[in-house]
Amino acid sequence: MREAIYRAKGGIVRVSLDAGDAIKKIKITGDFFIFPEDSIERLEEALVGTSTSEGELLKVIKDFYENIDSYGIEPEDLVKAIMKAV
Amino acid sequence: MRYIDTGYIDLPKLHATEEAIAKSGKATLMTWVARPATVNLGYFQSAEGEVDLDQAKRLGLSITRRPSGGGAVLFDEKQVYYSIVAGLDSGVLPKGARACFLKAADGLINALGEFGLDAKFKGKNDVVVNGKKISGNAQTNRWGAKVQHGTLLLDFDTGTAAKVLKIPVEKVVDKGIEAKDIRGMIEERVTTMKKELSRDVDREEVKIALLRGFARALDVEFTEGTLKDEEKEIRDSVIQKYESTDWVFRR
Repeated sequence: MREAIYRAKGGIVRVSLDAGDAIKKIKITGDFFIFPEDSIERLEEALVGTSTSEGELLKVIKDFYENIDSYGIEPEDLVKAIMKAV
Repeated sequence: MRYIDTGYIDLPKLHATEEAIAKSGKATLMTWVARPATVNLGYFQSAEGEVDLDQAKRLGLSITRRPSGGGAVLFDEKQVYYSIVAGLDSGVLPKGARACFLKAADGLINALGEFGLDAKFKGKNDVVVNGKKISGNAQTNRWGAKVQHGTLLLDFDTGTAAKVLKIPVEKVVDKGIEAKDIRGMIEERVTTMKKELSRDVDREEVKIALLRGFARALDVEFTEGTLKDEEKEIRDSVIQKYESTDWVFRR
């Protein structure tokens, strides 16, 4: 697993990543707020299999954001954090 | 609205009490003081990533995880805490995250104003005096309710916090502070009522100010009460979750 820490405007995002061309395993942690809280696990599941390109990641995360409320981090922040760990 | 002065409480019991109140649906303000001293992780944080676990063990600190997001903090008896629990549709707290933080901040700002301190909301979830954090806040929407809680620093054990919290360099840069050392960094970012007022502040005095401050901010009247038996039953049935290693190390 590769680790990265990214400082977004609204907080810290840490990513642990196992990826080749696509994500095999990912854990996203940090001091942000997401409602409902269990959606973070669902986001991680949704990201498995996604190719490690900014465009693909942004698309998956933006789609995911349709059904959650977040406070502190934006989809772009998560993409930057993930790309830092690639 | 019900007010409960919980007094000293450990974090698993506190979170279990919040859950019980949320499930019972009775809008409540609690004030409480954390005992024993505890590192409290935000819901989304990694325990290994945020806490020096060996150091915590050496210092005899418990490690806990709260149901709400935000950052890791050191909880101890030098701070006074509040929890507001209210049904999502009760109208007591705004549903939106930022609006709810601002509402709670109003209560804290009112309370600090009673001590002559000019406090402001800052950033995502902080209340500051003279630009420095004096209160950190968090919230969660669960069990059909909003739980909004936070701390007011009467004093702060900067030395212990610096030893046990792994504060990433990324958090330090961009803040206009040189990362000379973690303790110095905390001291430059955080203030306390004791520092601002140059005197020791009595917890009871702060609780009363919080009660008045939140009454004005939420536009409610508080009546002192206690937990109902059914709430105690729920609390006792969920406390194990918050004490479990699975919960604390879940991320």
